[in-house]
Amino acid sequence: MTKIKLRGLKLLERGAQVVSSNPGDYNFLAAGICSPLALNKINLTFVSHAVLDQSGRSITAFCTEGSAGRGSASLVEAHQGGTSTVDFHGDMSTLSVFPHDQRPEVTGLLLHALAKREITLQGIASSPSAISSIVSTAETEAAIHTLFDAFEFPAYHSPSDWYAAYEGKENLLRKIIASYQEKVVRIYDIVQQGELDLWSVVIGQKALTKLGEVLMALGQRQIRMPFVVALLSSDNNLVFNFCFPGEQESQIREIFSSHQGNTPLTRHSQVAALYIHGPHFGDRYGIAHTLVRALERGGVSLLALGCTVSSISVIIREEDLASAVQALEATFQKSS
Amino acid sequence: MSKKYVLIVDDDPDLVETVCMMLEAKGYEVGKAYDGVEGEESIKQRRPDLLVLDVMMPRKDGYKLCAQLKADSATRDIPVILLTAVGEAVSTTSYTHAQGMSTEAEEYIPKPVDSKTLVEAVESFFA
Repeated sequence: MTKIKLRGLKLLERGAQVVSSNPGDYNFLAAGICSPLALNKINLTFVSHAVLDQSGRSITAFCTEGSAGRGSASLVEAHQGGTSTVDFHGDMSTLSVFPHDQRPEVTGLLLHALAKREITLQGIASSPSAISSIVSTAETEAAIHTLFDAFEFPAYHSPSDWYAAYEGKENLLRKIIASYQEKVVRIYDIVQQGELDLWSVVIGQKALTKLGEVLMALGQRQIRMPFVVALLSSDNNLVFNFCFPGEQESQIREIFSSHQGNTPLTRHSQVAALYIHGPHFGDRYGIAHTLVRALERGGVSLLALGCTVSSISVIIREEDLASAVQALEATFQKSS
Repeated sequence: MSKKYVLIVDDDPDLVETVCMMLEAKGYEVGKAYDGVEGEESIKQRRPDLLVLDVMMPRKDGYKLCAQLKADSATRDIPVILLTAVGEAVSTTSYTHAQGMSTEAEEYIPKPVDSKTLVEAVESFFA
């Protein structure tokens, strides 16, 4: 398989992941998850969220620093009052590769490579530049070697080269960020992308190779994929949400059916993506809470969300785009 | 008239992507690099009309790269905007303002930089 040339790889180690299967309520993410975590000053290094049906039933996965993991799971459990299932996964790492440039083959090759080594994928989220995957800390080293087999990183000849360059970097940043928290959250920009469809497929770990092939085939057709999240459900299946341009529906259906057979594939048409990028979004508490509360106040229901590296990507109905931008601009400090 | 070529060097890939989109929308051609060594190699391959340079990066930090460029007669006149988190908001860091000022960059912008300030700073070099 041909290697894809990328530019970088980031690792956040020794985190914890909490997965919550939520009841039918579009506002549950804000009230039941983000709010209690923000009030307790818990920083989320990764968030993915996908609505499963029209009732608003959803799954949310988030990562924290390892020491905050169990407490975060308890907080969410206490706020959901027995209406949802909360699973805790300790000792997790987030591996991010960049830039993906909206190429589905980057995610495809990543899935293919992890599946080949039988590394369990615990979740995925995209940012405008990166694809982040969650794997257990025990499998992190194997995952990094796998990524070097699948991708070419010109700045680093080998995993040991990369480790040598990366040592200490995250710790230094964490020290710096700890002292930085504004009253009104500043953002660099809000970027909009419309005329998209949101696709959803539920698969087991063993089907990741096939799904990887689908995404690589989509890439060969030059189809762009600006958004992806994957969440591990309580029955150990992975719920994938992808966005593709609406005009390419027939090609996408054809490629999925030729590789995935009868696996049910659902599509939500006429959606839009919003990307919000701000300084140190991955290192401070309360950002996701500020965003989902702003959208809730603006009457906008989230269909999916991915939060990783230093951005939050949200998927909403296209008809809600203007209200969403207005709500976010009224909440965050943006000067252009 | 050919487009001005701006190279952005920052290890926050989402920031690179955002700044790239903003500057491309203003008609600039934008190159991307994600650490100091990659930035240095990129400059050797193609000389930028302007360099936007982060300070804290793996392999080679922005101060070192800037100082190196300013010490070399072949690259001394490339204008450099340093994006520095060494500001009031940061109290715990091994980087200092004194280091920054000694690098002779043309412009210093404290992080978090807003998009308007950065675009205006870039445009001021080509006015």
